[in-house]
Amino acid sequence: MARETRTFEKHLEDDLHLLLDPHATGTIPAWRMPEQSSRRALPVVGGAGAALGAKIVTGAAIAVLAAGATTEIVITHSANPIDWARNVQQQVQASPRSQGGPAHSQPTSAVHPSASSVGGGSPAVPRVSPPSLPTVTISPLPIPTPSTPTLP
Amino acid sequence: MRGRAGDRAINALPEQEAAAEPEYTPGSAEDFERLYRRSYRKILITLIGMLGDPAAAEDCTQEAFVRAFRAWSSWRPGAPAEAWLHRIAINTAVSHWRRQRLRQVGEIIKRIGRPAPPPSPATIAENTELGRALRKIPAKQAAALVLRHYHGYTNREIAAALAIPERTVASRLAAAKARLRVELADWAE
Repeated sequence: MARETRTFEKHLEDDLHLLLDPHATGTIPAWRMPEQSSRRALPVVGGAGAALGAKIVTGAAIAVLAAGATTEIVITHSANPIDWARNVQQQVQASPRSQGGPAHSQPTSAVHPSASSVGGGSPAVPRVSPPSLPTVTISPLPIPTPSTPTLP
Repeated sequence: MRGRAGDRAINALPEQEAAAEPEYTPGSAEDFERLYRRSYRKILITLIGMLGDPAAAEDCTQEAFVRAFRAWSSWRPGAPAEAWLHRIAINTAVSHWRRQRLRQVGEIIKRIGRPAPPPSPATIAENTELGRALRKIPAKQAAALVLRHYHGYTNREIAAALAIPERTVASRLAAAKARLRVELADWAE
């Protein structure tokens, strides 16, 4: 039995060599370092993209705020936001509707004539009641309450 | 046995690389290239023995080395590098073998009633009795046979390459040989 096994194993080894030896002499292809797989690169790109998007959105918001502030400074010749508010009040006061004039009179200019005097020690601003805005009443939706069974 | 089976395989390597397995540093690209040059043919031959198709074996060998390179920094110097590589390569080949089987089943279903296509030229070279018999046994059994009877690996090295306990190697080899004996009934007489 052992001899038979040895014969079989010898046969097996000889035939394995006959079968596989021709492939043992082939040329070895040059090793090329694999590139980073796209599967791994994607989260990096996604992360960078998300960060870039957040920066763009933040930058746009800052640009809008800066443009608004610049416009107010140009109009009021003052960097003080209190003066901006005062200017708005004056414009509202000077508007034809608040004076009881016709609704569609001449268009009001963006810069009020008295705006130039607003910056340096302007007189006390008279009390102005702003035009009445249409009121919108928001009635909350009724929240359904679970009906509890009444106990006898 | 190891001497005989191992001698021929080792003789295929350049002289300076035929010595005992050198030391490697995990993560070192130069060391990995050395390991690649040293073990490429061995891996390729094992996979040809498993798959019977040299072209598919080459693809799997390349894929296995790419996988190994990605895991190279996690390799522990205590484990034999070649057995570690064999484990990755055998798993790659087993996955290929399963996909191939599924494809074959699909083709048989599609082909019902039509004549079988001629065998591909890549596999004609492997159409020896032993080649055919190796393809009929499970891929991991075929791998164990090649590792033992071609490369001359010890049970410990085969265990490391197949990721199985050392005591399982003997039973797996015995099962593989018993199966081959059946497939090659009139061969060893």
